[in-house]
Order: sequence, then C-alpha cells, then structure tokens
Amino acid sequence: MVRQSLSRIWSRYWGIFLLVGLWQLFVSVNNLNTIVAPSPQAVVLSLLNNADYFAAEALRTTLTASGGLALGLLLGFVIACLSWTAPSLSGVLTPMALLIRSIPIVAFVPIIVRVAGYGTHTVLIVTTFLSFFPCYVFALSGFQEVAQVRKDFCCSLGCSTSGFRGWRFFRHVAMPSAVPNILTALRLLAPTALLVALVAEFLIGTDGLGYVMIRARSDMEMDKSWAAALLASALSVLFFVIFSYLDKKYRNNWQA
Amino acid sequence: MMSNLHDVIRLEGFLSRQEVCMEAGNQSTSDIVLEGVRKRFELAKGQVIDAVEHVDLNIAGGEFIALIGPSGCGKSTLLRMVAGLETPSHGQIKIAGQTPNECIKQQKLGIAMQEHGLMPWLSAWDNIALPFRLAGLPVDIDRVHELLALVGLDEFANALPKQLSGGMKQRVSIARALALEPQVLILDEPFGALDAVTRRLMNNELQRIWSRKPTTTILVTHSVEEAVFLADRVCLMSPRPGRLALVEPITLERPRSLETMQTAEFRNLLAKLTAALDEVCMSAPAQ
Ligand SMILES: Nc1ncnc2c1ncn2[C@@H]1O[C@H](COP(=O)(O)OP(=O)(O)OP(=O)(O)O)[C@@H](O)[C@H]1O
Ligand SMILES: [Mg+2]
Repeated sequence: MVRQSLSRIWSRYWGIFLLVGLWQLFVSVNNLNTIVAPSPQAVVLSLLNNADYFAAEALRTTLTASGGLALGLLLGFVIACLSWTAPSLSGVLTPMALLIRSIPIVAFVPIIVRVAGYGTHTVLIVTTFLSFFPCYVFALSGFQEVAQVRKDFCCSLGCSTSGFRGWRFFRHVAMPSAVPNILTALRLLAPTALLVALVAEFLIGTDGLGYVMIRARSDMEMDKSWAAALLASALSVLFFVIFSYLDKKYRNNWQA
Repeated sequence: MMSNLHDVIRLEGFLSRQEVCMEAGNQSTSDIVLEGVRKRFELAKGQVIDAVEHVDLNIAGGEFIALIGPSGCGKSTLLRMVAGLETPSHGQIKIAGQTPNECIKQQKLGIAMQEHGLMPWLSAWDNIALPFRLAGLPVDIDRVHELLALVGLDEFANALPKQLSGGMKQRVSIARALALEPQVLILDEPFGALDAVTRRLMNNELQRIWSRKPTTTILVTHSVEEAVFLADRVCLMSPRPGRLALVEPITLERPRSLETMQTAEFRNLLAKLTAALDEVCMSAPAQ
C-alpha cells in the first residue's frame, strides 16, 4: 500500500525530484557559496527552523491574495450587473478592462503607491484592482450568453429579458447562467492574484512572502529568500488546484 | 342555446351579472385569428427572404392544430409570430381579440420548442416552478406537483435535466409550458429528437394531457402520423411562398388510440396528407 503510493508519487513527480537533485549537484560540484546559490538542504533547513515565521508570512500573503480576489470578484460582479442593466456602461468599461489588463503590474504599482502609500492595504488595493476587470468581463459575458431558446421561453411569459424591467429574468436565468464563467475566471485568476500580491509585496509591502524575499536578500540570507520563493510557488500551485477542483465540481451541474 | 341557458341562470340569480359576462367572454378567449400574415427577413443589405407569405387562418378556442410542411417553409416563423417572439411584416394576429404581445403579458401563452431550453442548474421541480417566478407570482406548489404527476415524472422531482432522458426532458418542458394554465399552447416539434416508439408514447400522453383541459394548441411537426393522430385540423404549409397549401379537418373520434391508427380512415388521411406533402416538396423551386 505504502509502496504503491510511493511509486505513484514517484511516477508523477519524478521531474521535481530530478530538478532538486540537479540543483544539489550543481551547488556541490561548483562548491558555491550560500550567498550565490543556497543548496536545497539549506533552503529546507531554513524553512523548518523558521517554520512559525514562514507560516505567518505565508498566511498573510494568502489572505491578501484571496481577499483581493474576493473583493475584485464582488466589485466585478456588481458592476457587471449594472452594465447588464445599462448597456451604455459596458461600452465604457469593457475597453477599459482590456486596456488595464495590458499594463504591466510593475508600471502600475508606483501609481497606486502615490495615491495610497506603502503597506498591506496598498497590496490589497492592487490585487483587487487587477482581479476586478477579468471578473467583470467574465461575469458580464456570462450574463449576456443566455441561449436564445431560454430567452424566448422567458419572453413568452411576458418577462422582459433586458434592462431594469428584466430583473426577474436576470435573477432567475442570466445570473445563474454566468456561474460557469465566474468559476473559470476564478480558476484563471487565483494564481494570478497570488502572483500580483507577491509582486506588490516585493515592491511596496511591509510584510508577506514577497517582502520576506526581498528583505532576506538584502540581508544576504539567501537560504531564507529562496525558501520564501519556494513556499510562494507551492502556494500558487495550491491555489490553482483548489479552484480547478471547485470549477470541475460545480461546472458539471451547468451542462444540459 | 348557451346564452339562453345563461339567461335562465341569471334570472334564477345563480350567477352574478359579472360572472355571466366572464363566462360569455371565455368562450372566445382562446381563439386565434391570422389575417394576411407575412414575414420578411432581411439577410444582408438588399437581400430579403419571405419566410411566411400571406397566411389566413381562424383557429377556434380549444382546437388542436397541427402544422406540417417541408423544412424551411416558415412553420417556426409563423409560430414565433403567434407567440409574440417575432412581429409580422404585414397582416395581423389576434388571440382572443388581443395582440400576441398583450397576451404574453397576461401569461396566456405556453411554449415548448424543439430544443427544450430547460435550465440545467434547476431540478425538474424548479424548472416547472420557474414560470411562476419569472412572472412574479407565488409558486403554486400543488400545481407543480400536479404537473409533474401529469407528465409521469413525480419520482424525478429532484433530478437535474442532465439526469433525465431526452423524452423526460421534453415532458418537463411541456409541463413547464402548462404551468401557468395558458389558454394557448404552442409546441414546435417538441418530440423531434425522439425515436419512433417513444414518440408514439409521448403523442398518447400529449393527447391525454390535452383532453383533460382542451387548450387551443398549435403543434409543428415533421411527422404526418403525429399530426393526424393529435389534431382537429392539419395545416400543410408550402415553401416559397410560405403559404397554407391545404387545411384538412381530422374527424377521427376521440380519444384516439393505437387502434385508431389501424383504421382505414386514419390510413386514408395519412396517405392523402403524405401525398400532398410530397407534392408540395416536389413543386417547390430548387433552393
Ligand atoms: N431570424 C431570421 N433571420 C433571417 N432569416 C430567418 C430567420 N428565421 C428564419 N429565417 C428564414 O426563414 C425561413 C423559414 O424558417 P423557419 O425556421 O420558419 O422554417 P421551418 O419551417 O420551421 O423549418 P424546419 O422545419 O426546418 O424547422 C428559412 O428560410 C430561414 O432561413
Ligand atoms: Mg422549425
């Protein structure tokens, strides 16, 4: 049983083990200093020795990222609702969403800092802002993609399917129709939100894994910096896995 | 005769005056009048297509009309106009003296289309309750249960559409169309996707449902057999121009059963209509 699961893990993740092995080999053979490149051993030791510290910082980053994602989703959803009722609003917001998506976060952060200052709240603002537009676009297109047969059916009951008077249609048909879209948005955005939170912490934060990375580096504690990076990658994968699972689980019920 | 009876009853004081008026009105509430109805679609700039070209038809309240015709002759378009989903380019449609749009505002219409259009995230029960919610009415729980039983799906109340077979989905769709007790029922090939045997069963069921409460019904179908089995009158539509080529009254006794389908009368009607349909298809200009 144990051997079976061990061999399963091996067959699935042998690439990662190989990478770690190569990393150790590279560091040992070249006899590199920890400041240039810490060995995997040093990184793991650093993680274990400062477990509490890393756990607290990782939690902080997770909270900022998911908080930003949640706020962005909420905001995107609410504004998509408004856009659905008043299509002229979407004419303004949709191009803006595309534009903002194409600005690199590194160029974007300094502007926000000017307005909001340094600190966790700014990281939260950045994450929220960057999650907002994709959520908005996905939700709105979900609302608008109700199949014609379903619309016809609602029309045949004298139920308006657009504008303010169509709120019943919106509540019972358009909004539930958008659920798969929103799940997709979350799945795609979750790792991105984490990345954005990390970068923002890295650039302007006062705590969190991103901050640990840069702080440890300037203190020449490379093992600590790498440990933070490793933890961040693990978190990112975890985010993706969780939201993919949710997506798969609930999307099923939306197939006719 | 009817009005005499009413007079008597009124004199006897059994019915208030208002109720008598309502009763008298009810006799004509569900008749449909189509007058010179046309529909022209614009495909591209300057390119138009006449999907329906001049249709005149009077449908009595409680009558079952079957509409047959080759593919693309404008059956769905005609139906959509009656259902207020499309406006005629010319002519007018009156349902009990009202326009289709006025009618749907009062939830007098129920439709079920070839694509069932059920909400995949709602159970069968909730799908049938949806018309109440969309119309802003309190959900009549008894009525929903009754409808589920009517279409023989009481055991599947909590099943999602994906857990139902094609025929079951169509039954839910028909139950949903009946939810608000419409006076006019519009069915566009509801059984199109079913195999012949299931289809016959569904026809039987539809007849049973209809005879419980005769509702003015227009059914579009590709099966002449289905049309003859169910209808009071079969209307044959010809393509380009989309017109009524033939209106055939079906006087077969009700209730009709599998035995009815074996009778000579049924077969004659079937043969006659099939021949007419063939002729209409042949004489149509090549597309
Ligand atoms: N929205 C539309 N815009 C343009 N043309 C349309 C539209 N709807 C229908 N048509 C055209 O009108 C004609 C009749 O279409 P309709 O759907 O009424 O046919 P039908 O008799 O229901 O055919 P079928 O039996 O295949 O369902 C077709 O030539 C079709 O191309
Ligand atoms: Mg059709």
